[in-house]
Amino acid sequence: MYVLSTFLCAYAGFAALCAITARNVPLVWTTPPSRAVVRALRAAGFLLLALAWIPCYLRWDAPIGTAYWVMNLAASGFALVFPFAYAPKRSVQAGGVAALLAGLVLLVG
Amino acid sequence: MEKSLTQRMDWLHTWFGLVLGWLAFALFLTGTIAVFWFEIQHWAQPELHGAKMLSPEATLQYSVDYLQKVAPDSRRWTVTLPDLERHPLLVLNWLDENNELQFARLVPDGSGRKLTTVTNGGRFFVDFHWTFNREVPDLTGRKFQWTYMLSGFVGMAFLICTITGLIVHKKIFRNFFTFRRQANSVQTRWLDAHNVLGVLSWPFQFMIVLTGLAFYCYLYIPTGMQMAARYPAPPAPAVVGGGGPGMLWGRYASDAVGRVPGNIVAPGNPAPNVPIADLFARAQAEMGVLSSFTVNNPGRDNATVRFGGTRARPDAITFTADSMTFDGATGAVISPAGNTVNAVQKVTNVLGGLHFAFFGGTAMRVLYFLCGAAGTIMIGAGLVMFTAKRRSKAKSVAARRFYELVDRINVASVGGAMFACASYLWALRLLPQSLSDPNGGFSGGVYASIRAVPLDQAMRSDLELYAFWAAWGVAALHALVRAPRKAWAEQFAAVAALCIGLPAIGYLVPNSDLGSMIAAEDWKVVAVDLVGFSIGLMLACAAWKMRSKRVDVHVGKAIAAPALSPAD
Repeated sequence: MYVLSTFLCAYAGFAALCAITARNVPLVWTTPPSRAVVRALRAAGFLLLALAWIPCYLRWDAPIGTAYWVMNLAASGFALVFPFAYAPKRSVQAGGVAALLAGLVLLVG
Repeated sequence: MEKSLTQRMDWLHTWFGLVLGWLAFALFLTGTIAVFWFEIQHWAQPELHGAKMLSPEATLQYSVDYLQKVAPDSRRWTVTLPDLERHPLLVLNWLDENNELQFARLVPDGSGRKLTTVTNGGRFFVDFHWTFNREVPDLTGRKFQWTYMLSGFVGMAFLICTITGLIVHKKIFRNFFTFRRQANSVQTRWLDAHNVLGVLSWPFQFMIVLTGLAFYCYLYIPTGMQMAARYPAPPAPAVVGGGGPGMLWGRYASDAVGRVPGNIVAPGNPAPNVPIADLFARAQAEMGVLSSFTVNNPGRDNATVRFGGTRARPDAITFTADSMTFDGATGAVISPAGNTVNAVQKVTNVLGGLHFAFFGGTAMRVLYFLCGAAGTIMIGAGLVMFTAKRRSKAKSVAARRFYELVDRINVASVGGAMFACASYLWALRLLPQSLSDPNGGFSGGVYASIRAVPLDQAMRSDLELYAFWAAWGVAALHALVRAPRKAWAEQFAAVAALCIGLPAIGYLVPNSDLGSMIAAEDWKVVAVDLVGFSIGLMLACAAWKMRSKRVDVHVGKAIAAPALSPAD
């Protein structure tokens, strides 16, 4: 469960960052986001990536958890980037769901 | 003209990447598979499949009873306890009345069934990954050996490529999430795939190659070891079989799995001993999971019992194993739980621990496998990109010929390595058990090394390696004679067929078929079969895409040269 939570949380973080990457903006948004939204998503993105460390820490401890967190970033990134090439909007929207699920899974597990 | 830093780094990245990528692909592929080498070892030994294992305590008691029966007067018993989660095999060693080493490899279910399959199993991937299956007779680095030097050189080149790759990457953040699968230019698509795979898993790629190099740095830069060899070994602390201090002697003494150390002590007078199970419980309370124990002079008044912790520790990033020694007659602690390795070796072992991925359980290994696979595909994509980028711009016939040759070597390297690995797995499954080495082969911890023996004298473990190299040879030959575009598709299709067939061939040999493995809840065998099957499906998709003859048309420009690569 911790593992799933980490994965979802990092996915959500990447999705937020992906949505505001200049190249991707026209693929994701019908009207360009305001600067406030961009800033909020950027902060949320990095925060979620950092928060993904917590389930790793809870599952193992700091050394092994950190190793897992780093590699999980790659896994979550791949899980976003390749589907994003096919369904950009949905992949990013899934990030919102992933963030909620990440918290839920952590609470339940 | 003065070149910029980026241009210089680009040159390094391109040429180191191309020439060493041919070998790096195979090293990455086998390294990735080797993450699960215990599971593949289990998969390759049908006698173990589905067996209901005893608990660690019951296994210990069973081993002691067994040895008590076959060798009550032995000078030494050595038992390698099964790793119940990953590779449940019980190996008992003892010295007979002539002090010759005897052994039994048992299924740890209490039935006393012997394991007759002697196979390189998953260990092959570990050893190929750094020795190309050449035996390493001198692990101290005093004797130059080109095979591990070559793998070290490839590792060094890969390390350079990870760093130069970052420097030459254009707009790393702007393109962080960019994979333009519908880009017009073939080159862009491969470049995006290469970049995305490389950038997202960059910390892993850098870590894995750095730790791999650091773990055997004393082999790759052997001068220190050669100098050290001029002097006698430093005095070792009086720990029974504990290995000496220092990287050289410590590693040398402790790397031989199941090897019986030479210092045999003369037997004392017969005397009642403390039950080994009690000592086991005490050692386990202090050290956690135990992987082995050695009893010197069992049943005598000078008996000693040494318990070894596991190197493959799930709870810590290390390669250092603790040990603890008891007086067998009184139960007193002779040496407390701990290890005798020095600081340098501990650091090396932490790096080794990061590389070998014993820690963190299956979830961690899945990520190692994924990131390793990403690295493997990244190298493959990079190789393909080399030709995709240049072929259409070739200015002369000679240049075009050169790129075609590169494309052929790419096929031999990428397709060939995959074909060889898949064929090897088939050989593991299909070669008859009766060809196994009756002497137990390399259970004593010898590397999966290739030997030059005639076919009629070759044993199962030899034939497995022959199958691997012969398959690679056939694939290389095919790549040289066939048009590259066809060769790519055909080799991928062949590998896909072999992988998809993995669950099916389980039905041809006893006790390995998917249905009964699911029924017996032997998830290791099921997982190897199904992961192989899924990879086969993906490769089949790739092969299907390669066979279609789409030619890339750049706007306003026709391409004269025929398309050569799978990108088209």
